[in-house]
Amino acid sequence: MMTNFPRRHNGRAGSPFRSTLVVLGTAFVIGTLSFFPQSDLVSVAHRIAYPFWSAQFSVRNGADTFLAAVRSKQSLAEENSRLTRVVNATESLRLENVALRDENETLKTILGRPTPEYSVIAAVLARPAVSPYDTIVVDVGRSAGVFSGDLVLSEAGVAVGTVTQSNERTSIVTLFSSPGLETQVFIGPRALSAIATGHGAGNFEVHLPRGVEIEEGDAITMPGINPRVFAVAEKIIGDPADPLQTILFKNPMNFSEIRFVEIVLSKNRP
Amino acid sequence: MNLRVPLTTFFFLSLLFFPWWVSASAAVALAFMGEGYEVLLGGFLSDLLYAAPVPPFRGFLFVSTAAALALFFTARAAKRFLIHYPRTL
Repeated sequence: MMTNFPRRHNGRAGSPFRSTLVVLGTAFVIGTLSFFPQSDLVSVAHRIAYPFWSAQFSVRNGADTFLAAVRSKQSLAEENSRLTRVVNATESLRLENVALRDENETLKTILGRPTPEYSVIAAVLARPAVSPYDTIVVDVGRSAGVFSGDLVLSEAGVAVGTVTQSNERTSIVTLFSSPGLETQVFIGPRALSAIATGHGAGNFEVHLPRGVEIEEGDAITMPGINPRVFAVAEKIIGDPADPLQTILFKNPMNFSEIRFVEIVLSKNRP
Repeated sequence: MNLRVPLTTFFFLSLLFFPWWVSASAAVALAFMGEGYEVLLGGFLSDLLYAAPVPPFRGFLFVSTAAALALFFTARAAKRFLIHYPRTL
C-alpha cells in the first residue's frame, strides 16, 4: 500500500553529508567570487538573458501599438484634444528653456567653461520589482561607450542613478534611491547643501536644521556645472522637540514604468 | 503529474520577467516540493543579473544567494517535521 504521509527519514530531508557539501560548495563559490572580479560571469549571465529581455521589450512595444490601434475613435479624439492643450501650455516653457540653455552654454563658453555633453539613449530591459536591488538593466554597454560611473537621466532629464557595471552590450544602473545610498544634493532655490539618503523605489530622506526654510514642491538638484533636477520635496515633517526637520521627497517619475533612459558619457566621446 | 519541470522553468523565467516576490514564491514552492537545488542556482543568477553594491549589505553582492541558501536549509529542516507534502513532484 502506498504511503501518503511520509513522516521522517524518507530521503527528502537529505543527509548531513549532502547538506555540508552544499554549504561548502556555495561558500567556496561566493568566497572565490568575492576575491576575484566577477564581471566576466555577470557578462555571461547578461548575454544569456539579453535575447529574452529584448523579446519582452519588443512584445511590450508591439502590444502598446496594437492597443493604440484598436482603441475607439472617440477616446483617441478626446486624448488628442487633451494632449494638444498640454502641448500648447508647455510650448512657451520649452522655448524659454531652450533659450536659457543656449544662454547658459554661451556664458560658460565666454568664461572658459564650455561643457559639451555626449549621451546615448538606452532601452530599459529590467527595472525595479523585477530587480530586487533597486537597479535597472539597460541595453547599452562598453560597445556604446558606457562605463561605470556614467550618470543616468530619465526621459525627462531627471538624474536617476549611475552605471555600476558595464558589460559589452548591457549595463547595470544603480538608482540613487537604492536603500541606504547617500547622494550630495542642493535643496530649494537657495541651493542648501544636504545629503539625501535613498529609501528605495525613488524615495529619499534628508534631515535639516529646523530653522532652514523649505517648502513642499521645492526642486532638489544635483551639484555640478550642469545642475540636474534630482527630485521634488513632497513632505516636511517637523517636531517642536526635535532640532532637525525631516524632508521626504521622491523622483518625479514611476520607476516601474520607465522605458528609456539617457546615459551621459563621462569621457565625452562623440 | 510531474510538476517539477514546468515549475522550474517558471521560476527561472520569473527571474527575468516578473517581480522578485513572484520568483521568491516560486522558490519557496520549489524548496518545499522538490529537492531545492534550483533555488540556489536561481539566487545566484539573480545576483549576477541585478546585484549592485549597496550600503545596507556593506557591498556584499550575493544577497539573493545567501537568502536562497537560508531558504534551502530552512525547507530541509522543516521537511523533517512536516506530515504531508508530495512525495514526488
